[in-house]
Amino acid sequence: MSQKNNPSIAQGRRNLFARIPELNVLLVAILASYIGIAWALLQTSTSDSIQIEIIAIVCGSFMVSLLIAIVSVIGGVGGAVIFTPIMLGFTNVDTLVVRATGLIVAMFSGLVSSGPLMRSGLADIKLVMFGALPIIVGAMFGAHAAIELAGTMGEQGDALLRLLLGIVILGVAFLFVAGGKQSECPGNPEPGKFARTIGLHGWYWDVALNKDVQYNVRRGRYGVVVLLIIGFIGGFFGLGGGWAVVPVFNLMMSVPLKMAAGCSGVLLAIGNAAAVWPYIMVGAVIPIFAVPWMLGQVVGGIIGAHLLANVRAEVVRNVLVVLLSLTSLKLLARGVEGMFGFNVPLL
Amino acid sequence: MRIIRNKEGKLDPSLVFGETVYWLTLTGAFIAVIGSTLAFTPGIAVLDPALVFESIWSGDNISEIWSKAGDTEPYGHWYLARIPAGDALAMMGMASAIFSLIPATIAVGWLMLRRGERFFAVVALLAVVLSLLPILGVGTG
Repeated sequence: MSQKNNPSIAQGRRNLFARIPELNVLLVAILASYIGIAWALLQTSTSDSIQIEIIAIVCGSFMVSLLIAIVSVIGGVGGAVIFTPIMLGFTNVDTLVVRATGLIVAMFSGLVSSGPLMRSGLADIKLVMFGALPIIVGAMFGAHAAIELAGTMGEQGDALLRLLLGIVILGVAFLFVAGGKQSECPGNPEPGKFARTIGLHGWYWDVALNKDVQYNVRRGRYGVVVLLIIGFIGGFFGLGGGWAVVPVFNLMMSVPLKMAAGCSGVLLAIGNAAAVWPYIMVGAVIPIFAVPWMLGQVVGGIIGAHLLANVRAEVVRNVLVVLLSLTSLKLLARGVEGMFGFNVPLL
Repeated sequence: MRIIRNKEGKLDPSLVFGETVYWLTLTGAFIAVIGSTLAFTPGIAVLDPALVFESIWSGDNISEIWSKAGDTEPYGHWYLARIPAGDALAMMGMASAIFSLIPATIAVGWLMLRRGERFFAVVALLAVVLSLLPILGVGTG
């Protein structure tokens, strides 16, 4: 695809910061900004403890977001999978602010990683578009259904669905463990009829394996239906689709794991973009609170995308298993809380 | 323009999408950096930074945060009308980065159409329409 004619990738394993001058410029700008913020705060009459608290929150948010972005890009899931449980579990921040900032966290690593991922051939725009549309449509119907059914389902029904979803995701994590190395690179199976008709196939250069990896997509029609359902569930529960896109691409449609993770990140950015605007328009995205999280995602997204190109698929699988397990634990905890009326500590 | 062309010298939809979104997101990030720095300078912010953080961390809802730290309730693309303010500029940086998906997807649709891949051209067009609806405030109540 685009691998061999791109000079930045051809430079191989050269130091990341030497290869990406814009990353250095951005880091210098962020550092200068934080020094400027500290200086500006000192000019105000705010008490010393509050000044230090604000600086700690701004710098801490940036650093935590950066780490979340690196992990989530490698795993192909949105960063909200990690961000939302942490914020809801350990802070008093309003859920609407958490959800709005969570969407920013979920999408910005995907947005910025689209450049390096497309350059390295680890994301294919056809696969991205193929997955994005059913996710967006499903999410829109899911969100409307959630509003419609809010009065009739009751807390017990909602909790039961969360519990079932948690079990399903735990099962998917188990499939990745049981599938072992076969799930990392499913070979080059005969393409499905639908996928062949629309030309859904390709190859990428795997730096870690030092060879071309060819892939053909299978079960494309079923993939659309399942992605539609995932979009619906994600929209219904406000989860997004990050927990399921990689498993569907990889385990169901036979897309190699690294390609599935690369496409998932970009696809989630498109899906979450449609969801974030209503939050922006009601003021739920508070700029000075959200910007450090956004910047961490941008810097971490660039680093994560370059790491994804160089790590072995086994690493991607292990990261994904951990992230899926954490997501399922959160859902199981909320399900149990809703059904039996007690709080599960730390979850 | 070599970066968005493939080996045969043709525009590659994947590369065009990736580079458009990448550079516009970085531009948005730089705007957000400048905006958030300005937002902490007294007198050029819509929301008072110290009050915002105090209000957010004490668990206030959106209305309470805006009424305690700002002067008006936000409505629609509120940041566009308040652009000289640092936090409005930061919000515009984030919004412009998110908006980058629209021109990138339009370019993908156009290139797919030129390559005769009508299925993906239609998919890209539908993705643009569905992404534009919430920006225009359609169906968001």
